[in-house]
Amino acid sequence: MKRPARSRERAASELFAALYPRLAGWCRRLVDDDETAHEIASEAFTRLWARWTSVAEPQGFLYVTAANLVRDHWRKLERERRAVRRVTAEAAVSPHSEQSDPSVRLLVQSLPDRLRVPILLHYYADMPIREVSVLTGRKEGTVKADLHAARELLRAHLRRSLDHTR
Amino acid sequence: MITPADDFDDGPDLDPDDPLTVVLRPPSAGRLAPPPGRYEEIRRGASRRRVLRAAAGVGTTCAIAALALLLPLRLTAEEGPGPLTPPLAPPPATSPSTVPDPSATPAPLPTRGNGTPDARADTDAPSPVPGRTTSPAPDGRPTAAASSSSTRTPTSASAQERSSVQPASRE
Repeated sequence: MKRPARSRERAASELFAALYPRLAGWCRRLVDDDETAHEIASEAFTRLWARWTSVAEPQGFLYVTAANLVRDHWRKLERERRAVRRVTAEAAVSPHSEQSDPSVRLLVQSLPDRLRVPILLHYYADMPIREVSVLTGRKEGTVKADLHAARELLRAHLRRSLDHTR
Repeated sequence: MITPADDFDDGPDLDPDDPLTVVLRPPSAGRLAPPPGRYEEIRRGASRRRVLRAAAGVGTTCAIAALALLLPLRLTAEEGPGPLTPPLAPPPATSPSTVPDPSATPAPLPTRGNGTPDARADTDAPSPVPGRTTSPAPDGRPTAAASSSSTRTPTSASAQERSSVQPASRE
């Protein structure tokens, strides 16, 4: 009776040791704040373990959950910034400092859900296309097409932002 | 033209000079070690959330079961006798009603055989005398009959006198 619980605990511990630093590091690139990155990664793990038995692919679940939490964090920041701007009537409000890696922010912010999830799973969660197709319920050809479309979209965004900086 | 799915392979898209490579580079470059005690904290939070979710599930199930039990009971109770209403007062005795007076029905009708109108006929016809009602007199005779006989008495007496006088006049 105790053995399954103990093995589950050991599996959880191994998963945490293997994935938490990578996930937290990825979040840090997006939010540029260690504390917030830890919060988001911890929340993703909490959500995973709250439904531990029903999640088939924990790695993909963690990255998609973290990406959604990061997006929520950005929205919250944007609301707060707008409120401050409204209160101070745009006086002496310095423009928001960009994240250290804006290109990654672009990845999550500019892509629609349909294209963002395969990119996250394939490039950041290191999942092969076959697993991504199983997880998302799409055919492998569809996943490849989604990845291609996402890359084209990102490339166009990058080109535009580079043109602006010149 | 429909592009085959195999054309979407990663090979040609990710050359090292492509700025997209920076975006899609693996996250191994930046790792963030967990603070001490973070693992236990997350495990505790997850188990607390599991318990909460289970409690919410049990509560929802109980609520649905209670509804399933109580709703039919409530519906059957509503189909039973309605709320009690106070009984209506009987109509006033003087009103010209077609319904027979309950006080008149149990009383005997002894005058029917004498040719006098009974109580039912009296109620149908408008009575010329205001005090004439269907209630019988204590001796069983209607008051109308009694009054008519009493009014008739002087005339019959005068007739008797007339008849007693008439032979004298003939004489």
